[in-house]
Amino acid sequence: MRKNPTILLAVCLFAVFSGLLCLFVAALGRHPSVLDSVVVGREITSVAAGTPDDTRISFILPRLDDGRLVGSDELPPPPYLLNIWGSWCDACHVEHSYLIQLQKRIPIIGINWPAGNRDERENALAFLAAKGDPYTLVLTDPRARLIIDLGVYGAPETFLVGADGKILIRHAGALGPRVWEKKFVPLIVH
Amino acid sequence: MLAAALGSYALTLAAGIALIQWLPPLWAADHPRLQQMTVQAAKAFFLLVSVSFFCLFLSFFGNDFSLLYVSAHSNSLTPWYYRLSAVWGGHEGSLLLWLWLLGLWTFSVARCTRRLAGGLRTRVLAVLGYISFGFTLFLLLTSNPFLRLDFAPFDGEDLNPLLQDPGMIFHPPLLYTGYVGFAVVFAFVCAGLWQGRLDSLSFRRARPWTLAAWVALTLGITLGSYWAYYELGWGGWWFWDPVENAALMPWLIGTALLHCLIVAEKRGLFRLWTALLAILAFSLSLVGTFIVRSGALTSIHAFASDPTRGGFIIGLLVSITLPALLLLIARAGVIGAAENDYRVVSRETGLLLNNYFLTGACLVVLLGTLYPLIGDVLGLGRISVGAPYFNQMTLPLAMALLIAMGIGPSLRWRRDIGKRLLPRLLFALGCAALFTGLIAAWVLPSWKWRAGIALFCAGFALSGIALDCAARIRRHGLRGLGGHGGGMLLAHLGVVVMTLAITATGLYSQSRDMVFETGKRVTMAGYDITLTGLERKDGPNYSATVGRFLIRRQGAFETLAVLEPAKRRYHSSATVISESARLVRPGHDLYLVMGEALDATTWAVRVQYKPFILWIWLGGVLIACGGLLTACAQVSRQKRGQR
Repeated sequence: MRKNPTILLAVCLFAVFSGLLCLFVAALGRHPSVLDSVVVGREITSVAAGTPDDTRISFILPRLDDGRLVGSDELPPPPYLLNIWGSWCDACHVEHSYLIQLQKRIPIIGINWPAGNRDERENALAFLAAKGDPYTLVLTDPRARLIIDLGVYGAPETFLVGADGKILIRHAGALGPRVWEKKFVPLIVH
Repeated sequence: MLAAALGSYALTLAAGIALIQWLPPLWAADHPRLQQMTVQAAKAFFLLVSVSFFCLFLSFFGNDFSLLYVSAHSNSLTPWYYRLSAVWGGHEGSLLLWLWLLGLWTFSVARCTRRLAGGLRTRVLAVLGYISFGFTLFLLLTSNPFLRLDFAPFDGEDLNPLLQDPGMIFHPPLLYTGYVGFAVVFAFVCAGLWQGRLDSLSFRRARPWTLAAWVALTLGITLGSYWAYYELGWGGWWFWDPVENAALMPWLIGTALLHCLIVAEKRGLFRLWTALLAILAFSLSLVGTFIVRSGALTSIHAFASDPTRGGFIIGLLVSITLPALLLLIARAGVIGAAENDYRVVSRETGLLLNNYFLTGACLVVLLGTLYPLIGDVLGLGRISVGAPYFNQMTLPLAMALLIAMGIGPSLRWRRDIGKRLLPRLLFALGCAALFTGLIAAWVLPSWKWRAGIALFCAGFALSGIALDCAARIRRHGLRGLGGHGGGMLLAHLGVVVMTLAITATGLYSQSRDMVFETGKRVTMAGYDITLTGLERKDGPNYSATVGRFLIRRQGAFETLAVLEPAKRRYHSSATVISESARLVRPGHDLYLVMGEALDATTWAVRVQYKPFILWIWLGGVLIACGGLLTACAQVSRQKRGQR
């Protein structure tokens, strides 16, 4: 009778303690502030291939300048970057100068996100005219269809579409040389 | 420049001294010469860490930006008092503060336990030395605050603007004093188990230390909560943030431990419980350190994440907690527990319930804090556990605790008689109902069930305290309210006050986002608020826009106060911070935070009305005062006993 509680105690204590330790060891090196993305690994296909689901994304969006519709199969050959931006977003102004440099290395397709601003089209065109246009093609997504499909939290966000047409990485926040070298370049090389 | 080299040197030396403090006693703790050496080593360790700590102060004061740590946390424009508190503004320095406080506790133990049996004293100091050694190594190997930069920058990055506040000067030292203080009772229990005799005397000697640590932790948490309230601009006082929980868990276990120590000392019961709680309290402090510093959980307090540090802390946790647990299990037999001779209706049962409720609450908090981590590790996705879980789970436990608090202290040891208790119980229940009714009728703006339950439980606890108070005065006169009993009553009163305040704030707060145009009047919660003007004011390292708000009673003419909330922009980091402004009344706070400028004369402002919120922290202070009173009574009684 005297011995049993002690053994019970020992077993309980060690179970809890080792459980905690395993948890802590497994938790090391994780970065909870990094956002997961649901679209990494999905393929950009044409609308004719079927509706968007867990394996593909497709869209038809108007061009920002003349409003002509462009389907997701009419984009330049991958790899390219999908850059979600708006003239209303401060961080987009920050990353803009870097995108100008980057356009020589990889085509960038801009997805302009009006996010409810009525004058966004004029503002965005004025912004590109004043500061230079890094984009191969700028589409606009006034109803935020593609924005929702991509799971965008806020502007700017950049997606890298690899040579096989699949989305390789999502980066939330302004793009700069450090992020580019660290997160994007290794993926393009492989 | 010299200071940093000296500080680094002193720290390395301290590691060696700590080794001397714990290693030899493993073989010869009962040798008188060696005992003397251990005591001296403990004192020398404190001296060396103090030198190192002081050197870091000097480096900050002299703006020595050749140090990585200084350049990352201070700026030549930062005022000197915030430069000094920036010493604990980051991981490395706060760990040095941790170590210094551990040294201070060790030093105090070495000074104040001369009358303790030599063997026990040496073992206590050796256990403390073991912990110090581990943490000194941690500091030296993974987070040395004295690391040099190859090229010294011209100026440093600033201390995080949120931390540039008087709260920063007091909150971390107090909190850490509490955290680290649980190392002393941990050491007492381990030393007792080690020497194979854990008797009433060691428990009695450990009690004032535990109380002191607990008081510091209580004050630290209370101050932190108040700071968060006025600085973060939400108007909330507790966020269930992982790091807050990391401080709350040792507090809950520490509270259980304090109550358990009484039984362990006076009645010789619950000794296994006490030993376990002592080990848990300190281990949870270590777990808290892991949570804060490994970057495994996101939190406003989190330091830069670094897996090597996390790994080292896990190592420390294993090498400190595991031996203690092994010792506890191996020596469970030697804990001289008395016969379980108490009946169901007795103070022992009350205290046992108290243990269950408090450890239960701690478990709930632990689970909620670690659940996101568990989810992440097991691949269940990113989960966040928020206030609803914690509130729902802890509230019933808190209510149960209040009820136990109402009856517990008036119970007799060993066994009590139902006949004696029944009239008291009925009286307390009657008082509680009356209290609830009166408050609901006169104070509450509207009836809510949850408020009713909380009021009833608080009223019950309050009448229990009043009955106990009356009984003490009848027995001993006014002297019955000094010392021990008085301290206990005061602390319990603090809990009741806090509960009432939390209920009022939690259920009856109002918050509105309003647009203020200069000269226009806005009415809320019985106050007329007018924005009379905006002004630019510059501080030493920031520029600010200050709004001047006139506060009047609704419809009245004379001005009650002028509130000046501000929006500050710090030069070095371009961070924008809202400084809240409050109209503090005993019955409520009016809380103003500047939102955004809509145009030159119009601002969006959040106005909050917080009934009785001040009493949450006053309750915390009362609890701490109660603890302090009891600690003083214990120390003076032990001194008298020795003479």
